[in-house]
Amino acid sequence: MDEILAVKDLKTWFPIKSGILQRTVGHVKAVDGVNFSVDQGETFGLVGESGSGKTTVARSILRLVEPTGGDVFFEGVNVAKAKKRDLLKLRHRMQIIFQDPYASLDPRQTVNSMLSEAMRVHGMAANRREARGKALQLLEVVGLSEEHLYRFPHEFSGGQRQRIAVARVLAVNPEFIVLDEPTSFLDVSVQAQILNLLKDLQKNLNLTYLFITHNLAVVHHMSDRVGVMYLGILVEVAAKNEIYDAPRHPYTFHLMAAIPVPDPEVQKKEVLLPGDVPSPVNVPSGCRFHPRCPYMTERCKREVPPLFERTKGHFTACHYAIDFKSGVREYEIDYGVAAVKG
Amino acid sequence: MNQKDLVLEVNDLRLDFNTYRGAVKALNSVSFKLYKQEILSLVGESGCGKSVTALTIINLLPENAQVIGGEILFKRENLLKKSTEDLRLMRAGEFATVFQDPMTFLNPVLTIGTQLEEAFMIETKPLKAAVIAQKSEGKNNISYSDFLAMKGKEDAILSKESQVSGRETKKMAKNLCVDVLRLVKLPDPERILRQYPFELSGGMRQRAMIAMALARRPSLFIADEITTALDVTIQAQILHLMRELRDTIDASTLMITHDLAVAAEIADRIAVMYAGNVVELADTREVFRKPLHPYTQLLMKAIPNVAAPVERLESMPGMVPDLINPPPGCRFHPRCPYAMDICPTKFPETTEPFKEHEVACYLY
Repeated sequence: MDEILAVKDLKTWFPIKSGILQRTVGHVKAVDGVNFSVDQGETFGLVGESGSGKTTVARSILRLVEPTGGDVFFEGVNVAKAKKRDLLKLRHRMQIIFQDPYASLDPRQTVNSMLSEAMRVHGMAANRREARGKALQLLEVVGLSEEHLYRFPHEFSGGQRQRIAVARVLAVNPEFIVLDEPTSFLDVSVQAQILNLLKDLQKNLNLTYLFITHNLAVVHHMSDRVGVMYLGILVEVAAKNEIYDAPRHPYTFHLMAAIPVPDPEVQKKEVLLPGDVPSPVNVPSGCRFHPRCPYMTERCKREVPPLFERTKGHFTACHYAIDFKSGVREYEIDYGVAAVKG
Repeated sequence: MNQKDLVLEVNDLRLDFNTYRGAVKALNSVSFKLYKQEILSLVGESGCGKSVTALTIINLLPENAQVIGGEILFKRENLLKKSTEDLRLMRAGEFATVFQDPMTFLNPVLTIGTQLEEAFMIETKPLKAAVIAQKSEGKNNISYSDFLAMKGKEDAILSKESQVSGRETKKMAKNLCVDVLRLVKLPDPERILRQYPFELSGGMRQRAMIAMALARRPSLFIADEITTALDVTIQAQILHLMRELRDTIDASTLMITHDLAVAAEIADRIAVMYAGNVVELADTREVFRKPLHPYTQLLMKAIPNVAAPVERLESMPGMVPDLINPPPGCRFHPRCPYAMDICPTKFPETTEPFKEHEVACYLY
């Protein structure tokens, strides 16, 4: 499959200002060197706990926040270095759907005016009549009808608003859509409707998704490949089943073990991760996960493990191969030899 | 569930909120029983009435709420007939509630120590009793579990002699603060007592809230979405703590959550609520193995399950009804795939088609 998006060593730091002169005294390293790529037509899931930087990755890709360093190639064009006026041309091809449909829709615009505005900005419709016709089609696509066209956002429920947000994004014919927690404001019965809608659209319109969520069950349902973030970096990237069934990074393993399973018959072995996520202002030395890791060694405190492809398509940032069943560190990863091979 | 002591019984509770648009019929008929040392989970989507039920029990409803009927029996006394003052005392002594967002319930300008100590000092009698017990038994320290065991025996202990200074009471409260923080697994309790809420992480704050609830030695613990604002790894820690506490302290827990998976992990029994009714109530395993109500069945198919993935989720048509004009009869019938002619006419009675498995549906 063709690569549609390649993120190379992306860094987004937010300065911390202090004092009367507002001097920069430090940085919140929200995203600190992230590498991954997304193939045409797939769903790449980005998971992590709050503060891990997954939303900042999404916004940096779209240049909704300015990345501090690194490159983002969208079909060969470097978005991170593109000039402002060239961005508009890129933006209709890459769109985003936000978490909160109560905040992302203008309360004073009707559905028709919202959809038409999106089309007008990107030159998708020649005149008002054409825009209205297209808007009608879009409403049908997302499961709404003509009667909804002249209504305002407050007249809709959360699920319907999210459908409108989807329609607005589709209005500009995007190829790539970032879904930033699109269902976390919705009830489960409505969540299922939206997830099904998104899956149908992907199939029918050949869309590529970057799906961001803290809900590990939802990302499992939606994604083909999954990247796990911890404190601003990716610790593991692999196909969905490998991540969930055979995780290699200790953090991924504990994250997966913590997912509550809606089935009391499933006998889960309880493995609790101690402590909390550290602050991204003072990231731990070496491997960022070492203060919470049960398999930590002296090497982990010193050396940063690279995101290393141990088997095809399965990247892990950990110095060791660990057997989580027995809890033994089996062997150290030798980056050198494999790197020569690669 | 064995025949343990009944702690709380809610019978046919009905409640309206009066708004300028009309009465919101928030609770239509809510009935359940809660036994000693069990965790009962109220599960449902937003607006189903799970939180309102909890707020009615502890009498913290907003002013526009009006209980239309039913009764809430706590240790065989109807709470709805009690005076505000009696209820206040019960909230201080018998009930403890932990809510979703700890930051809103902790005072940001007071240290955790001050707030926790205050929870102990609301009533000084138990503390005085603890001081006397400590003296008479010659112990260095009274632990929280000793303090728990003393519940109900204060008068007997105090009648022996009753000269306890304020300083001694305060010292006892301080001791217990440290011990209760240890019980909720907060590391370095002495330091935490000196810290302010903003210095703690979300999970730690929630632990501090639980500690404050424990200070009152409650018989009824109400946990309203306590893990919703937390990350999964922290959620797992808190759920683990709640399970431990069920075994160590002598309380019953009413756990309110929108997440069936969380309920599956922690509850002994589950009550599924929809639009102001308990539609199904049974043992947790039973509910998942054999869901009877169509709503429960659809809800389970609508949540993605990592342990049993499906290509496509089965989604429920429509959405939760507006409770100003709820559908007549069974409130689920407009979304129900099995709706029959009788469904819109009258709300179905709760039946028990299987032993200890209640359901409100005409199918059974």
